[in-house]
Amino acid sequence: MKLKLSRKRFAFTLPEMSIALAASSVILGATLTSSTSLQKSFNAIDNYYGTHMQQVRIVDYLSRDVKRGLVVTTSADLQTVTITVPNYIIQAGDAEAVINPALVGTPRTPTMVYTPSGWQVNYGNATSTVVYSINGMSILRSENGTVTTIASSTDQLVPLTTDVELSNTEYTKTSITFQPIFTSGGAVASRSGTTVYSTAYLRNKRRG
Amino acid sequence: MKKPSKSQIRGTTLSEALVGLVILATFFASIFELNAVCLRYIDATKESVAALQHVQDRAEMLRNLAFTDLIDTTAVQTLMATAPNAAPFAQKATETVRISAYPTANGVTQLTRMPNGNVTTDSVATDLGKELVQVDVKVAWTMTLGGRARTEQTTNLLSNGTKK
Repeated sequence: MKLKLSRKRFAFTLPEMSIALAASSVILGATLTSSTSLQKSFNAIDNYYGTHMQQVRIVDYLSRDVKRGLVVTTSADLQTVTITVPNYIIQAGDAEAVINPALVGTPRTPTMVYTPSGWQVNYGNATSTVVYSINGMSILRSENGTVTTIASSTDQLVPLTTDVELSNTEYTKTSITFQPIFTSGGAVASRSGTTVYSTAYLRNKRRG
Repeated sequence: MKKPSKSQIRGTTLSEALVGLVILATFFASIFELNAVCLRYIDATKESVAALQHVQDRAEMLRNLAFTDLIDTTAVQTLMATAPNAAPFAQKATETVRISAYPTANGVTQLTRMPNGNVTTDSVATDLGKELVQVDVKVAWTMTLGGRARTEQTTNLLSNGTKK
């Protein structure tokens, strides 16, 4: 049986095909470009937020150690911070631990001495050394040789710590930045906009 | 053999194509707006962290004062003239410090630092005592996200100690 051909069953003409192809190309191109840029943007947002949290963690760690520190020294390039803290925790080999090994890892009971300028709390003469340093893209905290990675990412987290000693006290001012991966028009986003500042005073320096 | 129906052989009409295009545009507009909201949330997070650091740094500065200076309105006013840190957040925050004797207050010394750096003394306590004071530090600012009013504050009890 032979079907009767209708004009409505003709295929597209070349101009129709060209216009459809052009229109679909534009739509597909816009879709792909949008998807790519959105994915990049979401990735940058995720990266920024994650690194921002790492900044906060560094500030928390550093402030805690500085506040209980007896001495804080900062390297000339402001990339390494060394803090001397009292031995608050009884460690293996300490006099208390030799007498009673079960005390290892427990807080040391301080002694209180009355001095001409008031009461003074002491945790003994032994001290621990805490060092903050940058190793590649990570910031490390080392206490008596035990290393903890405080921040580890593909970003460059750079703490700039200034140790200032006044006539009657001492404090550190810290600023931490990182390089965001946002770009605008091909230009890399500014590092300065990521700065988190912190100030911490050495409380042990204020003792009588 | 079945003859193809009319609807099977016709192409997409202009109105159908336009509807599809509108749906696609709406979808992408939503995604872009979601992206923009994420960026604004990051900005809000940065503000909150800056406020927290602002309060903590100011508390540290006050804690470091000699007790005689802490109960001296002029000394505190001088201290507050300087922003607690170099963050640009200080230029949009109003900071309030309240100092009162603890546990029994006898008036409140209150100072306010405006975003432009001016410090005003709102009130002076009758007596702050000589041993223990309560120090409240509060910052208030208008959030970039949504223009909402936000505050962050902390309280410290500071005793009359001695320095080395």
